[in-house]
Amino acid sequence: MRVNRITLWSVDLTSHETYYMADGKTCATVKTHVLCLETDTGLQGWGEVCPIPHYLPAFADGLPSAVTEMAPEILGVTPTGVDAPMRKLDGFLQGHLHVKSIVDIALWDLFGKATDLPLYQLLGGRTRRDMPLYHSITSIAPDEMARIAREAHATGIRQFQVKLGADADWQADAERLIRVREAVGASSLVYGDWNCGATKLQATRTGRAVAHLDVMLEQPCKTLEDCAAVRNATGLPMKIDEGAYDLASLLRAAELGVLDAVALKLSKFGGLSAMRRARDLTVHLGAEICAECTWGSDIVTAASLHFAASTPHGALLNTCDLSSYVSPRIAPDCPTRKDGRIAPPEGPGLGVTPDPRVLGTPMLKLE
Amino acid sequence: MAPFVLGLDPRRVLDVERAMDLALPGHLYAKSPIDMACWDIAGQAAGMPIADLMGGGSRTPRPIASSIGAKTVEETRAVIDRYRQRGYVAHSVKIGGDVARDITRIRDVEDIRRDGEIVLYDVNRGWTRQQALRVMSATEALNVMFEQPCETLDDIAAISGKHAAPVSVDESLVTLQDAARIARDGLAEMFGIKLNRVGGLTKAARMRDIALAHGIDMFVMATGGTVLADTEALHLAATIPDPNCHAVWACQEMITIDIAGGRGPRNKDGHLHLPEELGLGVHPDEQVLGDPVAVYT
Repeated sequence: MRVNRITLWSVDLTSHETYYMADGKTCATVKTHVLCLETDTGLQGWGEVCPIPHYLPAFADGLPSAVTEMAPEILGVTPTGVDAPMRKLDGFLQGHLHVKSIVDIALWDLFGKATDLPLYQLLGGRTRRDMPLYHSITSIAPDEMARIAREAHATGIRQFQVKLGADADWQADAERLIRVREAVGASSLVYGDWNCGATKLQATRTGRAVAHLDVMLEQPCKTLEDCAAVRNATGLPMKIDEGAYDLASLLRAAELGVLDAVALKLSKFGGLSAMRRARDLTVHLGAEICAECTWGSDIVTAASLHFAASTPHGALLNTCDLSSYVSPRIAPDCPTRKDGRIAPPEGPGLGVTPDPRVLGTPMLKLE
Repeated sequence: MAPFVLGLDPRRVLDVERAMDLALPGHLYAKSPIDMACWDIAGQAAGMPIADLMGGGSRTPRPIASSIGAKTVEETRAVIDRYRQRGYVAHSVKIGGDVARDITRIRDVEDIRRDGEIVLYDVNRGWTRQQALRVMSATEALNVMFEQPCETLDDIAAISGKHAAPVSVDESLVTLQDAARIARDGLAEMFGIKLNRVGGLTKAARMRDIALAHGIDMFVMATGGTVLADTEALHLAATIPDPNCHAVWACQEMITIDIAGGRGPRNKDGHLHLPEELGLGVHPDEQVLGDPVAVYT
């Protein structure tokens, strides 16, 4: 069995609510890319990646040229066992992890279909029936954020990511955390995320103003060292996102004592193969995992759900149903949330079926 | 990045740098030529060579490092001889991959090394930690320098207390945070600053200052390219005090096309001389460049 056709589509995803983060970063309508790898036996494997603007060292319009560059290495691959071809691809083109991710997910989908197993089985076996979701709250006025939190709480959500830093005002950020904390009840988890947008001083002032509350902070500053300084000064637990993207950065974060929780994102690490290695190390390091991707629709959601469903007990913080944040739905048979939780798809491979009408005309076809 | 850069004043290189960094994280190799073009304009507008605009350029010619990609002892000698005939006094000898062969080649090159010659043994990430320590221990008495012995800074840190050789970090020096870590933790005695890898002159100048503040010497080079890329690196090299700048590179000598018709800094007795023309000091021949692949307005 060999891959003999590569097809790539671009689809505009519009957020149900425009999403504001620190440093003026927003997410309104962004391009996602969908990849289909076909084999000479007629199997189709699907991948997706959606790098939101100004966030990763990645941009959506670079996808077609990067996929074209790697095509000679992808065509002819036998997709049973994904780590080996991905390692070869890493030697062919260094970096470009978001592009590796879309290829890797499609190869895993083929692997699952070839073996007739859902990916959670191939990723180590299912450890749970369903997973808790977190809800990310856009950085707007504190009152409005508390309203969004209450509405999400009423639907069963118990974990809340509070986006901070939209106005570079440490007091407004403290207010955001206080108001959301009040709104969601004592048993819920609340964490405030700056997406690297704060200085140590701003983050420490905010953190100390809420240090009496049960809150966690997420990636306040660009470097792990600065995040460690904030954790030490505030005494608040820390989740790392942008600063953890490979095994070495996970080790470094653990060494600095900032790895209470970590966001493992497919596009950041380079797909399920790299994420599985990162997961096993993170479990060893004793941190809790948020299993997700940067952005996207049903294919990245399905991949995240399989990954989350096979994460060992005690190591999963939450996962994310990105497809519920955007429209259109690319594969409407992907599971949706129920009472703030979500289960993985059941079919072989990713177990989701992209809708050709939503994909439209492909932008790239290589054989 | 074009929509974020168009409309800015190119003489305000920090504004351009920030706009690019906000538009798109990473992609330093794509930011580097934009930064370079802005410095070229800024120099022409100010009536100075880039090196002088950056604070002052030394006119001491900079030695060009050769690039010796041979495999056997005999081939290595032959390639070094060819470079010597063109005046080269600095050599980057590529090694790595086989411990016994690496030791033999280093011993032989040291045998034929002349007084005043600068030799750097460049591993290009090729050794595992054990391979690095075995070659470094076997050649300790020869007092030689190595570049990028292992894959990562973690690897280089892990072996740093166990050998006596000075080390230059090249591939692992990408961001200012890398430079700060190398300096603070004492991971290297030399920086190999590659302008395309670190994102251009603006970012490279900060690395230069970290190096000087910590007693770290430098090699400054392009990752590849024409006389334009060599000249950009030469301007940064000229802003480094003479004793701290060991060599530059002339990639122009390895390629078959000349986009500047013999103009700009060229090999003169194994050295490059800073041009006195304004800005970069060398302009490409647009006819040789042919049709542009893209124009943004």
